Amino acid sequence: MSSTNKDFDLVDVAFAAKLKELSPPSSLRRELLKLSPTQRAAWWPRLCLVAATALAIVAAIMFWPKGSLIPAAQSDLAALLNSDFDLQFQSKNVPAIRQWLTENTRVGQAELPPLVTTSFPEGCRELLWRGNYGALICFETPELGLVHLAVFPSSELRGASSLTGMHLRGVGGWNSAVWNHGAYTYFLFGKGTDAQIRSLIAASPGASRSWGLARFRHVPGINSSSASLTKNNTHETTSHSNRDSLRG
Amino acid sequence: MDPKEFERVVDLHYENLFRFAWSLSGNEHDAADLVQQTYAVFAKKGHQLRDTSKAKAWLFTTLRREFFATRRRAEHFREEPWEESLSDAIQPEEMEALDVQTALLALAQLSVEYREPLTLFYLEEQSYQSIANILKVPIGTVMSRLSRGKAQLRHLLKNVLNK
Repeated sequence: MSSTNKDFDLVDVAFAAKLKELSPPSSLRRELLKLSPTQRAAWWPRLCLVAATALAIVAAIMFWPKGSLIPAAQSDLAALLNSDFDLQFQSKNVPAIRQWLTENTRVGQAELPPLVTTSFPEGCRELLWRGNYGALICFETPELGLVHLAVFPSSELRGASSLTGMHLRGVGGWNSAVWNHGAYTYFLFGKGTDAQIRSLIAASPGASRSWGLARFRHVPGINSSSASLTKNNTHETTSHSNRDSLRG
Repeated sequence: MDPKEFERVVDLHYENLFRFAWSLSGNEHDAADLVQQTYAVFAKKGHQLRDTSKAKAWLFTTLRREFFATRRRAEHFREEPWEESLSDAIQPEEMEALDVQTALLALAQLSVEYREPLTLFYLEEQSYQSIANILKVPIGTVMSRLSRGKAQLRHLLKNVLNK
């Protein structure tokens, strides 16, 4: 207590103690941290992203991979998520996000997993990867914080249509799950262990029943070390010959 | 601004800023909005503060300015006649019955000119000079408002607790 100490009597002490029992809403701190200056996208990261995208498109044309595109897509999505990307549409409302996806992307018909509809969405954007148009949806979960879901038409991703079950893989500091549902391939990225990712997806209402997410398998076309289901998050470096960029 | 520094400033002050905002606005929703507006300004202009130890006074001053800018100074400052009577004031032993809602109710009944210095006094135990800087009034005014405010508050507490 500072120079006012002498002015505090017993009534003041008791009143001050009561006043300090007033607690802010539990969400206030989280909302405030979103205002952090780093959350604002500056112009130069976007310029860098555009330049990197252009370079990577050239590299992609030169070094088009022969096998499944799933690992490359995971790597490039992880790189995008680690960059300063923008959400073209910000909303905390699932129906609004669904409508935006329908009106602005080519994956508007893709069904959103129950996980998304029961979480706290932040927004979404369109993706363009190797000529394939998809979408990215970002949302918060109580368990893992910020989680991202990318959706692409399976028919346009080589190797995706042969994917069965769900597969987990650590990439770029993220844990990524990939699976097919309907005509679409879904990539989920979260900062958690395999068990947490599994639990997150399987715990959402209706997930295991209609989405077939209860089973986790080995990814065809991915070597066994990177497809290990028991492995924790590991940072994977992708060779330039196998790397492509993603416009986000 | 370094995000770690921003987070540190949030963690240090947001709870008391919320309480100060509550004392001004009188409800949780407006108080939370005020705190967010304040930190939004801090995110933009906080780097101009060379000494982040001064962030506290800056935040309280900014929150107060945001409050009055929002309300467009709806509440008129006025000196109300007040008859002090020691027999009407609450005694220390009666404070045990006080809960936070009652404390807020009593505080809300004070005019804003007393609520402001009292909240800063009770929440942050700020010095008269700090309060004067935040409220942009002379130190003598702070002392007189605190004195009168405390007297009114004790009277109100007595009434509220006796109901």
